[in-house]
Amino acid sequence: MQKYIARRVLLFIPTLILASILIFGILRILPGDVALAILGQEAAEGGGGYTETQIRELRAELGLDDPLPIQYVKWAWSMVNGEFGGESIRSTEPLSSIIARRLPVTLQLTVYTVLLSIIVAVPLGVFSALYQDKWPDYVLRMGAILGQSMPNFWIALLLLLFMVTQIGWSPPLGYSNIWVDPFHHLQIMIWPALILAWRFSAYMTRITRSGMLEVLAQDYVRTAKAKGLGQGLVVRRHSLPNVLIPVITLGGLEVSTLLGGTVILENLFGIPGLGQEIVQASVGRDFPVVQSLAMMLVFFMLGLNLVVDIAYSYVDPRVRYS
Amino acid sequence: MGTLLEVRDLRTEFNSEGGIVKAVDGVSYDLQEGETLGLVGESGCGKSVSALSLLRLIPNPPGRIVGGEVIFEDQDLMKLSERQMRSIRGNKIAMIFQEPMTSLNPVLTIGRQLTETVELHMGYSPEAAVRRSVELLEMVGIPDARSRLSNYPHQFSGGMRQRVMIAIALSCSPRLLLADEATTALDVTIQAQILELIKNLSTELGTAVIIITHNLGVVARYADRVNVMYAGKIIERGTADEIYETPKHPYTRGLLGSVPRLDVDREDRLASIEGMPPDLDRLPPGCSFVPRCPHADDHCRAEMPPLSSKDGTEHVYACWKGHEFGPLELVQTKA
Repeated sequence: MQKYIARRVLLFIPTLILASILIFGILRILPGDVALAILGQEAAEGGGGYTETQIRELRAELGLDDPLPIQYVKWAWSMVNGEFGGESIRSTEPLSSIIARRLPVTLQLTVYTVLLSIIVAVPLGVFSALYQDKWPDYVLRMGAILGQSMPNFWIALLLLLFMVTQIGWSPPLGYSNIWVDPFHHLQIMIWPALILAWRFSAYMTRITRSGMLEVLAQDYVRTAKAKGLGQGLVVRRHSLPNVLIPVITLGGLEVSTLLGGTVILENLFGIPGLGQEIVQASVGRDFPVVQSLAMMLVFFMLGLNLVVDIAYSYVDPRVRYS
Repeated sequence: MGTLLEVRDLRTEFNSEGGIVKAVDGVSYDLQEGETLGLVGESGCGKSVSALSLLRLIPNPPGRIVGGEVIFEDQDLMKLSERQMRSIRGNKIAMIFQEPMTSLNPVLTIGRQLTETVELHMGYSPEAAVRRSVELLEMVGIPDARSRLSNYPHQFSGGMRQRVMIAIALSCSPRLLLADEATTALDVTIQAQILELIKNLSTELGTAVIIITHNLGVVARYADRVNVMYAGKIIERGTADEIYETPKHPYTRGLLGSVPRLDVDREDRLASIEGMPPDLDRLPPGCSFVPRCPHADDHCRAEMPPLSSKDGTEHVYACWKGHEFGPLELVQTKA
């Protein structure tokens, strides 16, 4: 088991290197000069101009004069030694503190969504399969298709509009830490979590349903029935663990889509997570922040995959013993 | 010895795209306590479905038991509630399936799959169930039984898994064991071991066995009586000796003639039954075997013969001409 985990972790290294090269490369290809953007803004605010020398000095200060490979290595090393790419150009806040402040928020939103989805989706998927092609199944499948086909941001906008115009209430604008003011925290977090969970659980319900139908047709389920077990035991003990194998695998992959959703919803609901910071930094051409936070999201995703793999080996003895 | 099981006019149908398939079409037979009965026929003739029907394990939809009685220990299983039926499954009637590789649950230990049956039907405590499971594994010849309890099915070979299936099936000392092609998927040497095991244990426990197979050698050696099935009906029944010496139905004769034998010249062609098994949703009005029968005439085409014998013996057959056939000579033609 330790060997299995060690192997998975070792596989992280090439993935991380490849992802970092991609992120770094894309940010260098993007049009626009960071130095010009900063000076232009300062000039506009101060009412003055700027000189060629100023541009050159700023470029040197930001390390943009170095050849690309050196820039990359410097950045990559800073990700390892804990500086996480230095500091923000706009606020000069160190990235380590930005990440420490924002990562837990995104993490919480993701965890709420996943927990909510599992609690709802697995029982509904099983229920749907047991009532295959009867009306409860049709209702659930319809709800799942709606959840999967309506864009998150659209539902979010409709929900906000509805709350403001119809019940005259909107989620609070300021964010609170869960340890400081849990009620306030949940008031703001519950809405994006619900919206994300609708989509995620729609997907999970569908996988659970189809997995359950497949398992119910297996020989070992017939054996369980031939032993005289009731439906409860046949489902809980003999079917569900086998259904969880595909559900965990596919659900884990789908979390990457979920992360994309959190970026958008954090902005709509004013939640100070990684997603909100990435969008603000992109607009302000704050490239150290963008590249380091994008890297954090990759890291986060890989970590989740590891959790999925470990969970997977826990349910499937064939993996555990290989 | 009394009668353990009486099946009367059992009918099971499946809905398919082509219409209603009568997989089991009015099957009647009985079984004495401790008897071993062979149920023989080609693939798709309704052998397995008739066994699953006894336990009411036909997947519905698409299948449905539409009629008949199954009197087991003086009660009609078809009239029991689902709860009463569950207390019989795995307890008084147990079943071993064809596919040892897929019939055990891959994510549960062998121990769990053994203990749950005795916990359920015999009310054993978890500790007692474990002790009983060790006994059962030793009984079916699995070495190092105690430590094997924590193993998973993928750590066993096919033959070992079938032994585990037998241990599970016999765990509550059932009155009746249904062995549905229990050895078909195994190597020939393992087949013999498993069959001997079933025979010895059933004799020891006084369990009646229905061996469902298309392997005539198996039936000849282990069955007291034989039912031959064709197209959802029993078309011949007799003791194993009667069936092998003087088969009366042309289908049985064809079946026996198509077994390869070492004592016949290899240059000779193996006799085979012409044609294909019939579509069960498009059966001819008379005898189902007519399209493949070399002896068929207008009478056969018009009317299905009843299961009977001319001389009133227990060896019965559903053929108008059965009485004309004598002991089977090997009907083989020069190639």
